[in-house]
Amino acid sequence: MAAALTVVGVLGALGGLLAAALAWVDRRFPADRDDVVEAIDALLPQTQCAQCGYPGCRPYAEAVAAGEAINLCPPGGEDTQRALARLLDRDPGPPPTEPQAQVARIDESACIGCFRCVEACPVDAIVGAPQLMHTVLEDRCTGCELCLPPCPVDCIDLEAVATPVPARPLRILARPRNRDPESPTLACIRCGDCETVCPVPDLVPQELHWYCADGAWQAAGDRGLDRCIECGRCNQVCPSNIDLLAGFTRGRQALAEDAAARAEAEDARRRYQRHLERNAARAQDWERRRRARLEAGGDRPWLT
Amino acid sequence: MTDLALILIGALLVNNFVLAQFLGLCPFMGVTRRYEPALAMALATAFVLTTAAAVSFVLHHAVLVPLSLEYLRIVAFIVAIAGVVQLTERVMRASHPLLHEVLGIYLPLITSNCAVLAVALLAVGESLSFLETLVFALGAAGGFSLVMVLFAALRERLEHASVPEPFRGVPVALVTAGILSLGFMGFAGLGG
Repeated sequence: MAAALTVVGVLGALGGLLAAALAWVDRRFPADRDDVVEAIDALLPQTQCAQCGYPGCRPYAEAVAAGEAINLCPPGGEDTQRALARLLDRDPGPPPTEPQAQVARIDESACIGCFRCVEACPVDAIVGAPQLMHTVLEDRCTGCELCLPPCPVDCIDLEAVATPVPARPLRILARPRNRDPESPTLACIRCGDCETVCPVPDLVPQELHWYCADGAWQAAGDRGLDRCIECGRCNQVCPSNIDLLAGFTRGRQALAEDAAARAEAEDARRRYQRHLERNAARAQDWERRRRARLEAGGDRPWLT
Repeated sequence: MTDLALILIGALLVNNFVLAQFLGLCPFMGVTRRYEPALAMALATAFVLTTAAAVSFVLHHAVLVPLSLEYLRIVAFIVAIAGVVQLTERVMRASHPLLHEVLGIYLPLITSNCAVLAVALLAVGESLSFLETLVFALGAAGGFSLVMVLFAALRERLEHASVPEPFRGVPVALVTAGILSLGFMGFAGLGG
């Protein structure tokens, strides 16, 4: 019993003594933490995605404290930027350099289920299991691009988040009626009544009608079809009982689809371009580091 | 004097802690990828080894022996070494920032290194005097540093050598370590 007490006493005294000494030293020599950096770091999203050009959130916080721009964090977006501006009493400046919201998309037919992107994702937005196809949860994905480099088959790509195309036909339920649904449709007599009632300035419905009747959507678009609000007043005044609106709706639909297709093509081209740039930058970076390593061998003769 | 020289040589080469006694292998494999960290680690270990040996000696002879609690030495040494190294690190951070920059992150890492504890335990086990303990620790630290620097230099060279794919990285490093260890066996018998 006495021996046990001695053991407890000795170890307790030893631990207590060291603890007291540590506490005293801690108070006597406080660590000089940089509170500004800490505060900035706390506002960053901590995805460590390095899209800002720094290796992680902490280095970026240090750079911001030293005067770096505060709009370089795409995952944080404008919220982070505003918070940083408030904290540092700075002008928020232009929105983050990546205004186009994007999400990763996995080409499931090419995915080999290697699981590497799942491990790389900082926000757990990729679901899947080894040897099985993976996919991205779009509402979680921040578009940080960290999943791109590990992919061995390059089946991940970033896509612009789909936004509704405003030029789509506006009419959904109510369809304005013709002046007289019963009587037959006659040819356009170019009376110009439709132009008088059209509420949109500088729009000539009869002209648009001719183009739309010919299927010349692009020409109609050049003449302002995209500004048509599809109110149907031209239908109601037309003495020849022409359904102008049907042509306009079809035309606007066609124009919208065309624009969407072109936007998609442009987007794909841009993504492919960025993909090439990323690969080139990676290769360049690798080469630069290798060279740096070789040059740093100057004071190390065994590296020659 | 001859005794001290023999202890030094013995700890440095013949009973090299890493390659002959296989202690402290974690930093040996872990931090030798590049030359600078290996050197910093070696210096930090030298510092901790010497401090630990001195602290353990005092603790053993001033506290444990009088109370005949020698069987507690492993626990007591670990606590004492960890505490003292932590203390020194804090003081160093405040008083010698430059030194702390070099050794800083490695100091807490090696407080519980087996080589550090082994030096303290072996010195006590062979009932060396205080001076002998210090020399023994210095020898051990020198041997550790020597091996770290040698191995880091070898690994840097290996990085640029054409190594067969399956051997790249750690495997070839382990093979190299084995050959290095064989080489150090040549020192056996040097101290008589």
